[in-house]
Amino acid sequence: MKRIIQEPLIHFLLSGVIIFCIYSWSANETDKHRKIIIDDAQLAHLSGIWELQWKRPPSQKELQKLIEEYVEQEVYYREALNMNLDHDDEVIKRRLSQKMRFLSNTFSTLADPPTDERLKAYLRENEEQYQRPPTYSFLQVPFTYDHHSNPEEVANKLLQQHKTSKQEDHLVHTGDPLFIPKEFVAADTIQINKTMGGAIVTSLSDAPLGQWFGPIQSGLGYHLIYIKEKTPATLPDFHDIRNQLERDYVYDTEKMGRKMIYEKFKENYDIIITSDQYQELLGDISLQHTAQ
Amino acid sequence: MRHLLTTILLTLGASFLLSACSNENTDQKNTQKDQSKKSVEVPKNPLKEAYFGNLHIHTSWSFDGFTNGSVTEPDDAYRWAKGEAIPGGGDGTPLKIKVPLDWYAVSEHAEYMGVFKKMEDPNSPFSKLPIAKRITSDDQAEATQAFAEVLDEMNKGIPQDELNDTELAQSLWQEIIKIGDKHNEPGKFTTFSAFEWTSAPNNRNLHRVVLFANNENIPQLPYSVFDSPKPEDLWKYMENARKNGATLLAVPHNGNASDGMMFEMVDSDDQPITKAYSESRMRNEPLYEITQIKGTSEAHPDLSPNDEFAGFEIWDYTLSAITERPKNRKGSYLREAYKDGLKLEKKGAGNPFKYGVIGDSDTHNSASSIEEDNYTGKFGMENDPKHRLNGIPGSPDPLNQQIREFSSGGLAGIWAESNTREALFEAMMRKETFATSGTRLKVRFFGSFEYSKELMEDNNWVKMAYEKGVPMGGDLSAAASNKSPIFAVHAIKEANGANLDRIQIIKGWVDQSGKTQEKIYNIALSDGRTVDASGNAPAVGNTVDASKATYTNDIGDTELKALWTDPEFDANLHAFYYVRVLEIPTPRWSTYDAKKLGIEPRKDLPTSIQERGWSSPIWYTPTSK
Repeated sequence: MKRIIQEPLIHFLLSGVIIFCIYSWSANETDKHRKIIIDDAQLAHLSGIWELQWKRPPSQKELQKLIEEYVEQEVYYREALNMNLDHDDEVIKRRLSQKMRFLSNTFSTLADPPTDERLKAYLRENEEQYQRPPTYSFLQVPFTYDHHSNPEEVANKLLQQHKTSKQEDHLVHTGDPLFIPKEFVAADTIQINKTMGGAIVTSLSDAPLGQWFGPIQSGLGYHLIYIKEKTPATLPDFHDIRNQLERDYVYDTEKMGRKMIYEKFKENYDIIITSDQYQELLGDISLQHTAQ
Repeated sequence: MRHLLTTILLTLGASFLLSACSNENTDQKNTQKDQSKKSVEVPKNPLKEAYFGNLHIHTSWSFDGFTNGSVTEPDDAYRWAKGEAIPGGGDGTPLKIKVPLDWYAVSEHAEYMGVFKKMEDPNSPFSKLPIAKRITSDDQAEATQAFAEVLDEMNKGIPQDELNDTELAQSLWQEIIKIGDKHNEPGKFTTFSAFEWTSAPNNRNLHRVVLFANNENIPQLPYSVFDSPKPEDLWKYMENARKNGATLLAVPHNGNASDGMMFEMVDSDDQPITKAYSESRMRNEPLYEITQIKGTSEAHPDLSPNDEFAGFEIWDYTLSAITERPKNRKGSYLREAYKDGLKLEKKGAGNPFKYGVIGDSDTHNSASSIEEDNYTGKFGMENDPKHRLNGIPGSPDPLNQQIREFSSGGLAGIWAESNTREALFEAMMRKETFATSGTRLKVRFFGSFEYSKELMEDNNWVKMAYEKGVPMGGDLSAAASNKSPIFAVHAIKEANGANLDRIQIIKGWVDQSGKTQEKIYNIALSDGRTVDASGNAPAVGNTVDASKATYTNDIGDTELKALWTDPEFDANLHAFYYVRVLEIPTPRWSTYDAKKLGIEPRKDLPTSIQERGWSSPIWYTPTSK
């Protein structure tokens, strides 16, 4: 891994040293007396960071290395500031703007803390979102193209033959081998859709109970189905989903808060457009904030 | 002015966190208790289910995610995986998956996580400010009034010296952990805390995602390339975390962009691989990400010239911002590494490349973008078919070509007893995992010397396969003489996806002379096809209409299975076997995009691809003589 030494960063730093030398010739006397102070607080900060990673204080040697690294970074950082390398640096601009957004996040949750009262109101407004999906217990017998050129027809024929039967075990031993469960027990529609796909879930909702019906097309083939039991979608009790409500409420409030904070900040600025091309570009430019 | 505003925000942030903090510890404990209670209640299937998810997910909280136009955050990522629509950036189209995932882990780059001054310090002067109490008041009118005052004060300015007195970092890491916890619902949807260690010496990719089984004793700061660019040092950090009670693993990726460094036959100091090195590597990183947006690194046609399917979604670049091609194939692709691993093991140096596989994403925009017909790109700016296909405005064309050659995201399939952190993590550790190029096909793979020829004819064959053999990721060692290993393989298509073309077993071994070899066996073919005398199979065909971006399932099979005995087994030779399942050809994302834009598909990209799945291998080790 000698390539580490070939890092472009190293090359960059070397060129930095050259620039630095040239620069230092021209720098004035006071610049040479700048200080990098390692006081108790700084030392505690460095070893504190280390401890967060390693759950133990650094050894003397490790601390020495941390100090060296800190000094190195500080020297380069200050030289860079001296040379105004931070000015109009797109990366720095974005970084600071990102930091500001992070802070706005924290800030915006403060406005409307999630009390039970607010969460209950939130639930009323978003009831649909919190419905537990319907569940079904059913048997399925598959017919696939792997075994028949027209599986739908085969399934239909078999169903006609057993039309009069109400007994679930008549058909259950027929069908093709297919590596999905023959019986689903209290499976919700999301799970059923993941396993079988196609039109299964929509067909189940108005299908009769306690009799074979079909064939229904899934993503895997055709199926004869016998529903033993179904539970309609239900709205859970407030206390059972309080955590979930709080999570979603805070998420929504944060979004709104962020927007508000941005608008507030923006009021501090006069946005003056002097560009002649602005009118031409108007279709493409939006001054709307992009904070989401 | 900037400082003043920051101070106010920090002040509020501190007070908020403080007030949250006093409840936090107990809250966390309660959550943990609840979860352990719940995980007992989650029903288990001893024959296991395949759970699909991703663990390599960035959002705008990764700095390069942010700079490249992502407008989403970890919370959005989890919401997306569960099926909600989230903001997409780019042309403004929201992101929404068609079929939700079972589990997800946001893994931001560790490099810029620890950016903030610690705010939860109870001695912080911020907490003493009267405004802090008011803003967190339960009285909404009071809180709102305080909030408004603060906004107002920002414009006037307030002393800010306190800022430099607080020490340490309150990192985003803690926030990420909390958000993951909020979305973790045992039995329904699982989340993990994770970060990415982003080492790329000279733009050679050595990145690893580090993932925690749970949040107990989790280190308070992740490990970054600024701490060390050497994988060995990351493993030390991981061992140390383990010693302190954490449970974690790492997953390397994109050997294809490492120019031979990912699976080099030497360590970071160019020293030969030792047994201790191999053991440390395998203890810490059981899995490898074989496919993701930046290409597939299973096999390269230059290394495997006899593999007609080796050239799948190859992304042949380093991480350099200026387009640069890697020169070294060896050390960059997993199949070759599997072979090299056997060689090292034979020499007594252990096997440092005994990886199970997953597929993953590496999205930087929350959505893992696994569905070919619902591809939204890697970065926020790519959430616009024009940008993905015609190029990002102002970006040089070689760079745009790299974006066009991006693959859609891959998926990790995990065979586990239940959809819980514990069960999924254990399965990852034992490598009972498979990768797909994004499709949700499922593949079972078992090996044994003891299976009967009728094994798979029994409805209960999976149970017997477990009892008498090992699943993917497992080991076989020498059995009674004259016996060859028998493998049971089964694959079923994604419910709403494309049919299957074939199942292959890929075998690698070290021959008598010490040379590595590989051979591909077509063990199950759709549509009644059979192999010729040399083992080759006729192509499945192609129903893709590129101009309409459509295909049909008129060819291929719903499921395929085979019981296969190695016809050329030599009990004295180290070997590995893994499964590759191919789907019939379907349109590539770029073909769907061309259709969307009403243009012809590009000539320099494949119009259709054969999506696929790869199992973790089963290794055979001769008993030492």
